[in-house]
Amino acid sequence: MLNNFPNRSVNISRKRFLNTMWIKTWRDLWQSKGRSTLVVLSIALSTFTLGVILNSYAILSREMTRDYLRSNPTAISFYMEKFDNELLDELKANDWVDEVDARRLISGEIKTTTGEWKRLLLFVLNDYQNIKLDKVKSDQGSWPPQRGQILIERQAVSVIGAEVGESLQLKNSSGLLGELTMTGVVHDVGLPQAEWENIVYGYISQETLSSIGVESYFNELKMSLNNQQLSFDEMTNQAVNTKLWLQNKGYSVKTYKVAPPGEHPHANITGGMFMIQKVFAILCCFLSAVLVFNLMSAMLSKQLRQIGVMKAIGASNRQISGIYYRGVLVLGTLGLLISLPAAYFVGNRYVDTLSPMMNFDITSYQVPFWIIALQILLGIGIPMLSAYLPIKKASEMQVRETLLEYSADKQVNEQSWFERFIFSLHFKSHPVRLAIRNSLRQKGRFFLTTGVLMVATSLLMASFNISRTIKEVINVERHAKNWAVEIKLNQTMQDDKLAGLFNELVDIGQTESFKRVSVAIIENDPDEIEDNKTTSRGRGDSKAHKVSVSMTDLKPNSTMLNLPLIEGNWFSADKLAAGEKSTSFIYSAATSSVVVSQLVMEHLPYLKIGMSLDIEVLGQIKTLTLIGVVQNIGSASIYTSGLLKSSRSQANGLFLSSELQSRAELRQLRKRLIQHAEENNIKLSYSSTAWDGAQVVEGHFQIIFSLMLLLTVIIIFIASNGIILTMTTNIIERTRENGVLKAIGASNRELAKMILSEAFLIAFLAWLVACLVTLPLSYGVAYWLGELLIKTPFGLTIEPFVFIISLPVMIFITGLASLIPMGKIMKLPVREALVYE
Amino acid sequence: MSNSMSLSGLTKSYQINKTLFYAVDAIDLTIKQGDFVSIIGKSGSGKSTLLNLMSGIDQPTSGQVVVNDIDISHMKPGLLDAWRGRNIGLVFQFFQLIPTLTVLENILLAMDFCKVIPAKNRVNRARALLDKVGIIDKVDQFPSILSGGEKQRVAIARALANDPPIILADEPTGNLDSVSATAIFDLFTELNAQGKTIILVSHDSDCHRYSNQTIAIKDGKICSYTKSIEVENCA
Repeated sequence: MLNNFPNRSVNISRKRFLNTMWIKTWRDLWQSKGRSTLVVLSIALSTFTLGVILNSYAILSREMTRDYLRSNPTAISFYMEKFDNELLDELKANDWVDEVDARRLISGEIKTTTGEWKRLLLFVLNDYQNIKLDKVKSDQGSWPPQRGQILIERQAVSVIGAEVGESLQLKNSSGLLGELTMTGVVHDVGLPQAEWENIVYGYISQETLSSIGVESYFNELKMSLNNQQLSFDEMTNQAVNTKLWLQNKGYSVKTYKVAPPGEHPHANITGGMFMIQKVFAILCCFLSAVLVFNLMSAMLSKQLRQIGVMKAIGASNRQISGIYYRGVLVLGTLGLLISLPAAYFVGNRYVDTLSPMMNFDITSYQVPFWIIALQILLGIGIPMLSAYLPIKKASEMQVRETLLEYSADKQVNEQSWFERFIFSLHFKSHPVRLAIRNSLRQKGRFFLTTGVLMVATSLLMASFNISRTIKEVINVERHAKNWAVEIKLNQTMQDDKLAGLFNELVDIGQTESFKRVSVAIIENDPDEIEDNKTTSRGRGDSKAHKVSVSMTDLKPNSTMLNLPLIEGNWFSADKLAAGEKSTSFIYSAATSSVVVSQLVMEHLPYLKIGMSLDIEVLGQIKTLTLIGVVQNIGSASIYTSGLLKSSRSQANGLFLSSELQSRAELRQLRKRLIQHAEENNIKLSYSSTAWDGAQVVEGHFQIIFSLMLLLTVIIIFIASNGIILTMTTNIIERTRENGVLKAIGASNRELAKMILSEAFLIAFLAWLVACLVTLPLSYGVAYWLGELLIKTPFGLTIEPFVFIISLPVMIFITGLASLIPMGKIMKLPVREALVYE
Repeated sequence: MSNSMSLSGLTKSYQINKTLFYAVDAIDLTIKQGDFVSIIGKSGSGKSTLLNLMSGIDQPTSGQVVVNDIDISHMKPGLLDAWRGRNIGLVFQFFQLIPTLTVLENILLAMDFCKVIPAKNRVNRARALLDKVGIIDKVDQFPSILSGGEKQRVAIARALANDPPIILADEPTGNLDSVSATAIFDLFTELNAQGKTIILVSHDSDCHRYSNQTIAIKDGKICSYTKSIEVENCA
């Protein structure tokens, strides 16, 4: 008899440790140990995934907040022209102010060990020995920085590639030029990830600043509030009041930033990652629940006669269900025994991997009790819940339904529409027809298994679609720039002279000058704007909020930028003529028009195409019409075309196109351009290649794609378990039938053909539905990722290859999963198969 | 002797292709405590259906089964199962032992379900029952290695586990060789001598030699009810 309990004796003492119901539970599980192991592994894997996510989430969120709060984070930062220590004392005297501090923020460039110039954000702190807000702490080397010394933020060390003791060159457009010794590494918890941003953060003293010829003053005012219970809106109101207070004192405030209370600056990225993980963890739990459901349904359908006998000898429904719930409890507990320690260990390693990326330190790996309790609850509760229906159905069956051959309850059901459809397909092969019929015998099991595989397939497809989408975003980002390298000067120059200097260089195609300046969009009251979209209150009104952005004034009809349009139009007249994304308004002239990036829309979400914007440019307020919104990864920026025409001949930047394409080639070109500028006594404040923006995108996205793929592999593994389980159960249930087929002449080859046909039908249907399901799924993920990372949805780009390749992959997986049960049935002698019960 | 089981107007019918088929047709019968009743008849005569109705495994279309003054034909299924465990011992043709439990555990399972026997006495009682049916040497074996006769002895021991007053056996020798069958009949005779009411269904006309009453069934009706009588004319 196949799978019979081993024919051997066991010694049972007269004193029993387990009652017979427990013994039956244990032996039933042992009898189907292959299937039980698969279910234990699936429960373990899902609770492990859940555990890793919950453990790491608990540790990371607690430690990130703890580390951030330890730095005494700033509530409101004001970016100002110039101020000194006197202001700090005056401001602190206000009753709403808790603590104040000041910094000098200087943008520049720093030379890496490879000779490349990287973006530098230099901080000059008020008093390194007594930092009040956004505390920076020493990580390695000397502290505080002395004259001629620079400290580098620890995440930026890999960007610059330097070690403590090395000399570093830095420069900027405001006359900063010097060589400083890197004497230490610091930790500044609140800064964006240096590697992703491809930026270096440096810290010097005021003395050092003066020594390299830069006037010493502060331009960033930091403040915390007495009332720490304020909401973000209340804090914003407080910021506006403080700004007015500062302006009344005669200080010029460029803009201000309000930090969401208690929220780490990386909270949105980590939140996004946790969201993906949580969704996958829930899916894992769902899939393992389906597996438990399938196992219990299969086990119970095989044991119906036993259930009938047990009831006939006096078992109650509760006792019957107790036997099977105990089984689920055992499976869940075994799964938890594997997953709990594994999740703790891997969760901690995961935290160790993520915390340096997020730039904070872990001081404790303690997992809250509720997380462990939740894992136990879910590890046992989900299998119990998923087993509820099959156990209830089986335990409530009446004896006659399970034991009596003549029972009128055993009726042959009519074919469903799905069966009629499948059978209407004319398969010439009789074994294939029989295989299809076999698949549909246990419809619930068939559809659940197909569903599980469908989920896995659609996730696999979605992962590759997202990967393709990210590649496309990077590609668009690269090709949004028709230039190869851009340089920004410390000074302004005659544009023809500037272009002439670089035109003759090898590998340079076209050049086009631009002027880039820092401007402020004057934010008016949104309600008032809603009432009258074309009027704006208080030009230069001190009550109006200003949003600082970078403005690039392009040459009329410039072809150097090809930024993807989200809404409205670009300056090009031919696009309007072609009616591309036309809008109902007509703008007067390109010179009075402005295009903004999507990040500006995040700050000013009420902006609409056709609306007038007051922009403070070089001390003058200009009213421009908003004609378009473009996608631009990086900082908030706006674009004009010939706005600064009167000063057109004076440019401070140059776009240079080239035939060169690769990253390495463009990096070399950039290096040559910097060298050429130095040879011609032109001081550059900034330079970048067209790939630099893409690099930032890649850094952010690669980790998310890797995470999605890893979690998809876990889900495919669980789905494969489901297939093995279903195929094994199906084949075992049909042991006697297969014996009959063999007895009437079916060869092993014919049996294999039937079994594989059944597996392939599941794979094909799963793939077919997955092709449809993956489209909205991929679209949703792309939309969400775009919103999360660049504040505008990503347009989905389909990866056709994955649609083609996933079918043979799924067929291979289901075929592989059928091999073990197929081998068993082939080896079983006809005699044994025929007497199988 | 008091009434052990009383059937009145007991009917079981099925609708098959718009035709009403009576498996048991208005049977009235009274069986007293300590009786040994054999129900005989050809295959399809309705004898097994009658036994299933008597045990409460099947529900009658009409009529009633009263056992020791309790009408089991209208009892809720959950209560009926528990009641059956305590009051009726069932022996099946195909033994219906739980394959993943040893011989001893099969007996203990019935006791664990019904809790009639105190927990501390169950192992001893199970062993005593196995001794009684002659397979004490097989206590730790799994059913799959036992012979048919041995399996049926285990099934009888299980039927006796909760010390029920009535034993119902459906074709208990149907799957056994003649030597084993004789041994099983002897066992039932011995149990009957100890006061158990035995009702057994068999197509083996020899069984009437062991019982004190024989009921012959044909087309769902009692065609003969005798105490030690020849039944060939009915069959």
